[in-house]
Amino acid sequence: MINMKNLKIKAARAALDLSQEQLAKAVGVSRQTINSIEKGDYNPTIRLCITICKTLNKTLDDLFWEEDTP
Amino acid sequence: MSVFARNTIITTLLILVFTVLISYLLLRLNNKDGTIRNKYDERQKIIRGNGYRIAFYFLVFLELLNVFLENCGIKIPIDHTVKAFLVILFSLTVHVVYCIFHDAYISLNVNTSVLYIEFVVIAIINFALGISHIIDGSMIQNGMLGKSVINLACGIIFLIIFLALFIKRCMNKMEDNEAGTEDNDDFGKA
Repeated sequence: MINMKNLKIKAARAALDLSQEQLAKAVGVSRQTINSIEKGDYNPTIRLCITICKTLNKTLDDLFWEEDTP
Repeated sequence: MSVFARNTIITTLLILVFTVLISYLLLRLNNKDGTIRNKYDERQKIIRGNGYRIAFYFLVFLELLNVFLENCGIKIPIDHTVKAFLVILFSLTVHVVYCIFHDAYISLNVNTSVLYIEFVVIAIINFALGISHIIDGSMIQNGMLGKSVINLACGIIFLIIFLALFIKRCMNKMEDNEAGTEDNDDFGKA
């Protein structure tokens, strides 16, 4: 399986002017975990996805839904 | 019960109580929130689980290797108790180093500076004791490495762990710098 970068989280984080460290602190994980999610190395649990969405004021669809490419 | 057996039980109990006390104090000192419980996030817990699995297989491998060598008539000149202790120490080192290089060793609530200082102090104390055992000749008993080699082994292991933490810290800093450049590339700010 090819790991896909999650640029949506990165973009949402950048829009709020948050660093990885600040987002990590807000959602209660390590900075490396946020880094791994953004790099596509780690698939977070639904619980963490929801926490990230709430922190970044986004929906699950906004950050984690991937459209099928033809 | 012989006097020797009674003394061994009492000494073991005293060492256990001392270890629990020291561990409690160090954990209170280490953790920013003053608790004795280390907090890890979900990714770290998964990695730590993998680390325990790898360390377990490594421990089994070392035990099997030991049995194999003994069956082949190859005697390792190390006391049996020390050998068992060293196998546990090496396996724990595998777990710790694996976790360090996967960013799952440092918990969310730990004070890293205190942790580094503790590791250096523990390494120095164990090295000093180990060297004093070499100097007074108590390291080798009956032609075999005796219990006093454990201090030297602990010193080496804590040094390895400290170096692993230091290397990982440098790697993370380099990664952070690269990530900054990558952010600009991803959003076309270059």
